[in-house]
Amino acid sequence: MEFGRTEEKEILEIDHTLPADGRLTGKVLKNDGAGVPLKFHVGCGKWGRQEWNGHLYPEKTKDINFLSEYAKSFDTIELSATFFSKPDKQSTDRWVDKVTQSGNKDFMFIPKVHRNISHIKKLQDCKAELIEFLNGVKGFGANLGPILLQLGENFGANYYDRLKSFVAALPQEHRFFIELRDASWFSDEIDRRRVFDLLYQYGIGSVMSDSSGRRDCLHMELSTPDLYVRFNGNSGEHRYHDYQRIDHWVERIEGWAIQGLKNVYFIVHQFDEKDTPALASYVIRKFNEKLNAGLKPVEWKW
Amino acid sequence: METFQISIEFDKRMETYDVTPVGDGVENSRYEISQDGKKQAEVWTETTDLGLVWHTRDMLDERTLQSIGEAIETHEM
Repeated sequence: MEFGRTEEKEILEIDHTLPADGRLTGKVLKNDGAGVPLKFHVGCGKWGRQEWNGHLYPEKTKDINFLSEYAKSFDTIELSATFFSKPDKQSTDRWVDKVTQSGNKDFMFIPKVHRNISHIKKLQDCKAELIEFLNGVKGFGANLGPILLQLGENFGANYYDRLKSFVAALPQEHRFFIELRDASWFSDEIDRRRVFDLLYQYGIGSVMSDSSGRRDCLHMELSTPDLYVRFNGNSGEHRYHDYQRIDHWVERIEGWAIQGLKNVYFIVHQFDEKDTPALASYVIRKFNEKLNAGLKPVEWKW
Repeated sequence: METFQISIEFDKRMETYDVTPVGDGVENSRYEISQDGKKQAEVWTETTDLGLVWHTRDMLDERTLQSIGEAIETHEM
């Protein structure tokens, strides 16, 4: 079973309300929201979907133009391609050209750290690999956003020392967000405090995964004044339920905005990606309506 | 990394495969696909204009290859 997925019949029995704020969140948000305006970034995890032709992209859009069309609608992509394949200059140049062609100069790539570092070597003895990865993503230039490091479901609290060494050695010139998935980070209060204090200490953002099957990952701990949500929608007949879940986020962000939240990265995924932009479009509409996000509305033709 | 399972629907019938990561995967990730203990194919990734695409040298039709690739991506999402 994929991470966060649950049986269809169980979805509506799960409590999808957002938990209370984490211990660290109140410390990080210092009630100084009157100063810097909150910035919003909403996107998906893919652009290369032929079934989006006629819905998000114009009819008969060619594969080669998908990214340009995507960048006309969204300003952000979470790039899982770099999790599977090492980012090379040829690819990054090509992708940057595509978003430049779209006219969206502020488009942001959020590359996901290669699985060789996060899942195979599990952060051990991978200094050279990390340097190589970071050199690769530098190819995004001004379009490089924060970097996502996702740790596997078997990278638990017993790896704390290894995580600490890795985090302490991360270069300051990049912004990182870390997604923890192993249940042990959340089940024991001491381990939980220790790991989020570590991220806070080093200025590393904490990813909040919102999926039906792993509510424990919804820790609500902000380790920096930046929110990164990986939202897993259930789609299909659960579409309106997904919308309700988004509405909960809008309410929470509204409260955090007043307290000094600075950035929102809201990445929308679905197990069936065929209409993911429709859900992302709803996020943008609600952020604009309720939070004055100022994002360009995205039109999805059903 | 451990072997994991993916399920793919073909013509309203679910097929389940075992997926085993192979190699160091420094450049492009590779996975061995097997069913009932018998190797079916080896697949690997490459970045293109589409983002990520999947390849194989084995006898897999394009639709099956893409379905397997997408299922692996979803599993690792």
